[in-house]
Amino acid sequence: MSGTFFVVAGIYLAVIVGISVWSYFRTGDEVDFLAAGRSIGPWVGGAVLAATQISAGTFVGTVGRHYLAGVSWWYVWFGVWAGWLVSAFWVAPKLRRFGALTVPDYIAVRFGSKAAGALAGALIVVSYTIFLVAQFQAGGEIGLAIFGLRPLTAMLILVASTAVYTVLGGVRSSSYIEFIQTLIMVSALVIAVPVLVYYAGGIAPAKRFLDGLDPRLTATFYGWKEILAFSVSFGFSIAAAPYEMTRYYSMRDARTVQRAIFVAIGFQLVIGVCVLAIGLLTRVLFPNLSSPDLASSVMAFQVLPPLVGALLLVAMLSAIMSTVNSILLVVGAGVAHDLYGKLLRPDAGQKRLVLINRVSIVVLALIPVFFALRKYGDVQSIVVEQAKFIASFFFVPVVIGLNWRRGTAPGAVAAMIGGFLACLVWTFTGQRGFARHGIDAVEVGIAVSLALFLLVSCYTRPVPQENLAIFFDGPAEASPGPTRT
Amino acid sequence: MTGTFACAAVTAWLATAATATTAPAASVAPQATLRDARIRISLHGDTAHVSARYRVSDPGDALRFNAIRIARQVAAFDLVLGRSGLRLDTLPGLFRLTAIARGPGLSLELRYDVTGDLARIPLFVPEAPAAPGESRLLILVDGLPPGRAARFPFPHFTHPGTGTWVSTPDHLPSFVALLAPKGDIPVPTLAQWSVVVIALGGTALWLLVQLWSRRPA
Repeated sequence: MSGTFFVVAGIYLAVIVGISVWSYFRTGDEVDFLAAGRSIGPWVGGAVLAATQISAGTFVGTVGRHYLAGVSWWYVWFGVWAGWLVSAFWVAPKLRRFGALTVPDYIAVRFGSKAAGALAGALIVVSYTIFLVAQFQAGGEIGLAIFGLRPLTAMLILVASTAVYTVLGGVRSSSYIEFIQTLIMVSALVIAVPVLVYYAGGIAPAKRFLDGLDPRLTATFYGWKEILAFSVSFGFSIAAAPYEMTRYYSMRDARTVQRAIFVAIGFQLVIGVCVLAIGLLTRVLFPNLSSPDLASSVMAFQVLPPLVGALLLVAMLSAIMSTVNSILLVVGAGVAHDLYGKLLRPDAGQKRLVLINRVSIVVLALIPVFFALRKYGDVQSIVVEQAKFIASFFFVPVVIGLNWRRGTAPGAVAAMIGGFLACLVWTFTGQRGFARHGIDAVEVGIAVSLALFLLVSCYTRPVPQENLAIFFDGPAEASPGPTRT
Repeated sequence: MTGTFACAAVTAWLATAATATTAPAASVAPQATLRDARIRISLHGDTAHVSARYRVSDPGDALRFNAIRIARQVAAFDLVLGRSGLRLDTLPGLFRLTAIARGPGLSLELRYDVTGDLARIPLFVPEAPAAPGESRLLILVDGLPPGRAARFPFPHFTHPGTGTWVSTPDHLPSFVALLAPKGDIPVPTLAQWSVVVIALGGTALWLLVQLWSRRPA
């Protein structure tokens, strides 16, 4: 199995390096690096969005949750897709029409405030560092479970391989690589499920066994309030996820973005069903693993035939790499474009900005390793918590801000800070009584964020009309937005 | 200064993730740990004699062992129930053996025969996970007719040439699937081939698309 894996992984890495080098020679300025020259079509774009969304959280964490809790975790996907639909109809077209390079660009222009943009940039850097911790932790788990590697070694290999292709080609290489990664993920999962069904002796016996082990596995492990809380966390964070929205900017036009979102939902539907089946069937085959996070790697290494197992491991690697890559692009842009380029050195040249971007990516890739080695929680818990915080401080300024003209800069700043703090405080205090009151931190965070946004905006000076035109007056009256800056 | 703030924020956030109470903790490790399991399966015709020995640390007051029930199979147990502290329940999908623990550790020896379709031979799995790298799990199978081994057995087995098949998994599986089933569709083999077909087909399709996009207008 190890030999087969190294052959498959070798071919995969060779393809990635090839695309990265090809992209490197086609990357001249920031628009090329951060938006692939605005050349991505709906199929590649949809695969990119799917690959970005599908992460270690899915391959390790979600499989683990299905292993532990059974079917009921699947309903969370409806929240994810609701988030995508909100994005498709009320966020993506306006953002793409605006045509900036980063989400803080949007915040700064929409609300006419560089400070609001800088705050958004800082929150993005911090929150996505958390997300990276989950990805690296999953990489460490896989490396340990399969190859007996020390977690630090596995994480550094992951950082090195991902940072290389992110640094070399930016969004252009990432987009084509993520298209391939999505195809690998979907193929591996679709092939793995029948094999597991075969080993389990069929679906009906597997269900009977699971019913006997724990009837909640095939019914309701989580109550509706918990499902709602998880769905709201994921849905609201997807609707306003900077690492997804940044990818909208790389697509040809607003219509392409909408079509790409529907393609992404299609890929995720297939992946979601397969991940559910894999979690449940792995529970049938190995009913008592020491950690649910081990389910996917144990299944790939100890159940599947070598070539299929190797493909699935490469798919898991792809899921982690694609998400790490997207996050690195966002946090790198947060430092280089939003903080350095907009605040510290507005006169910096294109070559220098791309260089700062590349250096930031390498540095920001190493920081989460420190935290990942400390294992603060299981992978899916970290993913859920960061999703709650993203939703709490970003959903209102992005989604409501794009659809309500009266929103102002002080309102947006109050919404971001208030949502963040409300989510944090509730998590440490009121959250502990969830079983009694059923109110999750994300619901409190969004409610406070929304209330502050509406209230503060009503009592502060409106944003100038010229800032709003591009978002509210339709494409005919709006300027095309910067395609080359 | 910014770095210090970022580190403090990340730490606080991760502490939040660790203490969040909405999600039932996914990785709450049960105290009970499977330390040793040695399982020997002897095949004789259409019967498999299974002899299994388990040693579990910190089992609590009682520990459950589950074994999957498989269609077209009859299981006969050689157990002393009742006063021995063992109870056997037959549920629709599984057999459940409950062992009363008397002390900090539990040692249990089980013997049972399985008759009928032996493509999958069920094992009793304690509700106590093994500790990878520390627990010693050993599954031995002998009496397998020559040429009847499955191409992709579950779990993985080695065959040192002594007539005994040996598996040392990190976690105890629900069953052993070593005997090739008769007349089944070889799904694992087909899956292997489908990987090759998809890889070659995908590459060919990509080449075709590239050629098509470069055709003269």
